[in-house]
Amino acid sequence: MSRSGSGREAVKSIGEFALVRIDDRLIHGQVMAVWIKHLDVEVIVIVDDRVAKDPFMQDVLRMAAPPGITVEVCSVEEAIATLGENALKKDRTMVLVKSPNTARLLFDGGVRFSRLNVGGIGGGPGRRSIFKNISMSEDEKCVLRSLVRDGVRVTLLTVPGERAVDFASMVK
Amino acid sequence: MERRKVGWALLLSLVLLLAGSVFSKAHAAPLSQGDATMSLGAAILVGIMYYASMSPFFANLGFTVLYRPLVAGTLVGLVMGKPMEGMLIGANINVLYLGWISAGGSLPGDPGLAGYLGTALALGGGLGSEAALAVAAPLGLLGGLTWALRMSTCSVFAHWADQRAEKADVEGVARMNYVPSQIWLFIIYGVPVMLAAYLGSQAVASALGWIGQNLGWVMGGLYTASGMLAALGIALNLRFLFRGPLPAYFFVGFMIAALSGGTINLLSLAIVGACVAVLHVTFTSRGEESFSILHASGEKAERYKLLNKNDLRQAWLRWLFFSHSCYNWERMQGVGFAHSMTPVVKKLYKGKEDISAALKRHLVFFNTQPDIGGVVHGITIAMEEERALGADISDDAINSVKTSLMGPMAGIGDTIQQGIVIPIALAIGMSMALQGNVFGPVVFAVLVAAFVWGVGWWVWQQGYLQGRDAVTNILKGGALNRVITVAQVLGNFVMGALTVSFVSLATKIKFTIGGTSFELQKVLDGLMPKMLPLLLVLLIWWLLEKKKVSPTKIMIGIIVVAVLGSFPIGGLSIF
Repeated sequence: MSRSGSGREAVKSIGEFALVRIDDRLIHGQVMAVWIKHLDVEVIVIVDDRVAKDPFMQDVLRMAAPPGITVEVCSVEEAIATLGENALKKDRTMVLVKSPNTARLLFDGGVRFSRLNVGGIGGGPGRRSIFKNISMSEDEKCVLRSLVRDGVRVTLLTVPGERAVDFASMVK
Repeated sequence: MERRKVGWALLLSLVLLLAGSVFSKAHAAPLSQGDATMSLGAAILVGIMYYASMSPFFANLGFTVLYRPLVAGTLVGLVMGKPMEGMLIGANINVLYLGWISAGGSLPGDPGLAGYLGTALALGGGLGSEAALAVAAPLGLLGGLTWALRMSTCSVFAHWADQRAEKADVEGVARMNYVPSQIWLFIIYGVPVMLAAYLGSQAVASALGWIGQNLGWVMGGLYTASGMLAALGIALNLRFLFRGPLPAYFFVGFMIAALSGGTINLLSLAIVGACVAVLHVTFTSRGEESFSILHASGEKAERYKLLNKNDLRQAWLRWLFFSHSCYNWERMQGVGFAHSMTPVVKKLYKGKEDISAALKRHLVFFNTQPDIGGVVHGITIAMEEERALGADISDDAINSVKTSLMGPMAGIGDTIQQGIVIPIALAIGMSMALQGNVFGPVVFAVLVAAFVWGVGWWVWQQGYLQGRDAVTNILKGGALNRVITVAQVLGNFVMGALTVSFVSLATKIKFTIGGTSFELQKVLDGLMPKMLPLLLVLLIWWLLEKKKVSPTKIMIGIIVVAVLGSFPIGGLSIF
């Protein structure tokens, strides 16, 4: 385990997007009250096949966003089509997914990012806590390891200013 | 990995305690202030109160009220026989935590520790309210260590609750939420603070006595640092308030307070601010919208078939009190959620297997903001009732409603409760305290209680009565955003006024031009009253917002600059 510096450094060089984050609660206090301010985010893209089929949840997520923030919800397939090289306002866009698997699918589909923030994954069957409020199953760890092998820097960090941990140095 | 952190924390506090007691023995110089009044009994009470502020026994007014330095300082003052001094010290410490938000189980600094221990050390060490913040601010940072310990260890009790759920032991699950966790929290929160208050105040008293005799300018520096640290607290809050044209209201609030020489009553100013805020939103909105967040729902589902209003209230009360009782990184409020469902589970399910399944269903990971998030519980209770009536509602359906709504509701709840209600109520209470009004902390507590209890219970009922529609009905039409904008205008106003009353910065620089000597401070006062405090707040806001400098770095920077700037060179210093 090593310290990978403050949240800001960890975030600033995440590829082209302002932030790509795994957080199974999607939009909540940490995202709304802290991250959006910290990164001057204007657009939040939520990539989740299930939410993409749920108009009610889309309404809730859109209405829950603070004034001035646009929330887009799309399926993995739609995300791959729209978040490619030529996506607009990338440096002002936060991509939110619920699980490592979705992040992997996006990456394979050509949505490239050099850094990935893991912000929160709740415990559950097969999942074990690995850092603070972040739990993962062995499979999910494998998926993240494969992203590390593909050159993505995976950082575990709830909010900027808290301690950040580099995933690669954590699970050898 | 957390274990290692905890080990370091324990080691560090041990070293500090030892160093403190050795230092106090070695420098047991008699103090002239005669203020070192920290008896063992008082120290024990301070520890108990700090634990109480983190405990679930005050209907959610622990974390929202008792944990805030304004209240903490007053209580410590009462215990130590100096309530007015305590209240003033508490108010001054609290400025630093005006913009303090703990979201999703993160804890950036510990206002409670700064409030209880900081006030105890300041009073016991004979330190006035003007310099207390410089001592209390670094203490607040230590609180994060206990927090890490608590969040990682309380997971154990969640597993004990799992075992009770397996046996369909409803009361056992409830007990696991608050019995073992609270005994443990008392040990890790109460005991170290008792020791630190008792040993620390002697150490602080002798250290300050020695510094006062040998390095007078350092004391001056601590006074200056305290006045400047207040600017950090206000600037942290401005991060949430400076939006679009709204900063204009900050300057209006500042100018009114500055021109009145700081004598204006903040409560009156807040009323003016509220009126202006409503006008602002009325003139900037496009007509048809209203402020009403009560929308008639289309069709109301039939409720209260198996449950009655008392069941609903019983469940709410359990949540109100015990939502964070067994807070931990593995399940967050999971055990608290299950506990809140116990009256409902008992009423709806009779078979052992059904009871066990229901308990297990609600012991999973859950985390939201307790007041606004209560809508999720309301919806869940309605779903449980329908399920018990035979409707085809799967575990997965209930779980997915909980997990998908808890995040957005937390986002809105944190923005409103921690970002708006508490800071504004605090600002009013703190200003009253500063004018020597003992009702300052009381007014603060009443305002927060009105929100936490009133809104919490209303939202909970809406969730039950309207189901999922409650969420869209509450959010619909942007009424909520207008209410937030009103609060932000008011917040800007109030923060402007607070800058005048709490931030102090003056320079002692003198210079001579053509034989006439000028005092820089007089020149500045001639331009605009309270100019340096205003500039300092804006500078820190700029560092936080544009340069992304961390608050901790700014805090340390302020203390260093203030102390060094007080070092006299040739009889002259900057501050």
